[in-house]
Amino acid sequence: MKVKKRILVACGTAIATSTVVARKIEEELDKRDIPVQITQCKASEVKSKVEGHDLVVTTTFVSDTGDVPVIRTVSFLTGVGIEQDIEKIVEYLNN
Amino acid sequence: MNDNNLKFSELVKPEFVMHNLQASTREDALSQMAAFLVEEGNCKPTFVEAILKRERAHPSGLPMPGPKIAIPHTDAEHVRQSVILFARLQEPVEFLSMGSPDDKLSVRMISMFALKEKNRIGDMLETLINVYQNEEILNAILVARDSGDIFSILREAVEKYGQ
Repeated sequence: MKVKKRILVACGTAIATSTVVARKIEEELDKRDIPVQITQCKASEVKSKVEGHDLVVTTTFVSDTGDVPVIRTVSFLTGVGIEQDIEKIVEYLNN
Repeated sequence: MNDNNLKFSELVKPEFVMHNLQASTREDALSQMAAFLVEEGNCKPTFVEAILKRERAHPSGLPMPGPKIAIPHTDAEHVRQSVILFARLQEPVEFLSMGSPDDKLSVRMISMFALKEKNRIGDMLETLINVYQNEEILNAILVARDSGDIFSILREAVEKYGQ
């Protein structure tokens, strides 16, 4: 069994935007048979929640993610550039 | 799919579509829309300031491939009953782009999310965002005659996208 990678998805309020982003990422990675565990949070909560995650995907500015890489993108909302972002996500998760 | 999810008819309503909102700035548009939701009883009075504050900290303009749309929203604590208020503006106002606030977008459509039930809105939100990515649908909304027509376009689009 593959070990589930953990992604933290952040946006301003953790109610609407990150919900859509989290679902899109999960669908896309599921197609590629990559199991992930996704947690949503507000941008302001990233610092306290980032520990234990392999990657942060955010629609807004975040700071203090320590060693965890960050992808800032709105592609999962606009539909523009999803493929490139998924490739980036997969690359980070494989490292 | 979760049957517990809120449905289109529970969130989008003809009486919550503004077809000709007149606003001079984004804050003007957001204030008017938020105030309407307070008057209707869907949101607490604190919603208005919370929407403006959130927009300043985290801009909600989306650089869609076609017409641009903004999706302002704020914390659930300011909401009494979930609803999505859709407005078409008479004249565009400037929004900053989510994720890259140096980019300015000319916006004529705003979809204000007043949401309470975080775990019951995923399906509907994802479907609506897919609809908002569709250039043809947004162009049809821009030339629709009135609120009823805008509502019908949204309903048909959501049905088509599998809700």
